[in-house]
Amino acid sequence: MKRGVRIAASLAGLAIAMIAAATAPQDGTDIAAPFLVRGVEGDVLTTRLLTTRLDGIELADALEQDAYSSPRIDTEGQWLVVHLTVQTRQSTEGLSAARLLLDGREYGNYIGADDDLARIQNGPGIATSGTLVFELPADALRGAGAGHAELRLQTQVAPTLDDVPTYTLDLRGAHRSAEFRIPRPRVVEPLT
Amino acid sequence: MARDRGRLIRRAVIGGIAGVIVVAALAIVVSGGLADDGGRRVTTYRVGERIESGNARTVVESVTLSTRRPGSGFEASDGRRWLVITVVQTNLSDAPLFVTNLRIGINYGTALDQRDTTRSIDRAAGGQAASPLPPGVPTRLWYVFDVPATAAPDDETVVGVYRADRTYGDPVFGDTGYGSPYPVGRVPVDRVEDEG
Repeated sequence: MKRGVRIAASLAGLAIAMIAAATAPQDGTDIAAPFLVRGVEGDVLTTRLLTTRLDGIELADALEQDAYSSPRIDTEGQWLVVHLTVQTRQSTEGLSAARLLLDGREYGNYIGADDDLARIQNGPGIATSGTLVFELPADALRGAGAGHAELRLQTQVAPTLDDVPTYTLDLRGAHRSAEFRIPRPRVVEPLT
Repeated sequence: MARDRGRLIRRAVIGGIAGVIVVAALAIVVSGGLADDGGRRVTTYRVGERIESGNARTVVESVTLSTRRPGSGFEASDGRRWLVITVVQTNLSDAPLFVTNLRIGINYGTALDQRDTTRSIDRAAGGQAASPLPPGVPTRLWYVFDVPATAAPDDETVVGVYRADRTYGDPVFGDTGYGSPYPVGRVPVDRVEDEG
């Protein structure tokens, strides 16, 4: 009986070890990846650091701004303008590390615009509406992923094990204009 | 018997040492000797030619001297001028690329290398920042050096194209830095345009 119990326990331990080995994260598995809190245009998403709402998107060939040194920002590609309302929850945060994922490529928001929403760092509970802009190749909308690009509103380059507001964007139906004038960010009613 | 064995061992040791010395000498001779070869050879390109290396494509378009800074129009300080290298950089990777990875140097008057004396990198199409370079979008940049008005070119003005690889520290918290820049191309410039 004791010998049988020992054999059974050994087999059970072996089975557990095999299952653990088979289900363990493989090489390349990103075990430190962020948790994506998903939504679409109009949704209010709440994460640990932010409460956000995607208010719309549009495309433009050039950007204009009220800046003496650089009133116009051109590109060899095209500009994606993302309209957002952002409210921090616990501390002052910035969006200079926002990312757009499209057809296997990752784009960072352009940080050289004077009135970029990413420069705004208001205190907790203050909602600010403005825009982020992304510079894309001229043929970016021809890919299969143009209908479901992903906007991640990250507060840091590597949001390890943190939740991130993530919006799915359909770029194919976005309005296009020759120039888009970047509006100054403005304080609006709180989202929550 | 023991004496013979000892003699055999001594001869084997001496023979082994001699063999190692011979092999080492042959290796030195075949590899060109111990003299310094002056470092790695860098490929020479022409102005306007594409240089592809390290996830980016670089095209050196022109080198100009001027008292007015391109874009902003700011005047150089008294006794100084702007030396501007116009370069088109294209990010060939699938993620944002920062211009810290893509460095430019030039030998003009004093040795203007890419580490110490690059005053700034301006985006020719406008905007306050040259970074990040998005994947797949050719971006014209002005690498602006502040030089004495009396600076004169060397016999051969050469633009150096460098790369600096990002190095990753902590893989969990994303600490990153940049390694030492290394050259990927040299572009001799026949003429530095003087715009006054």
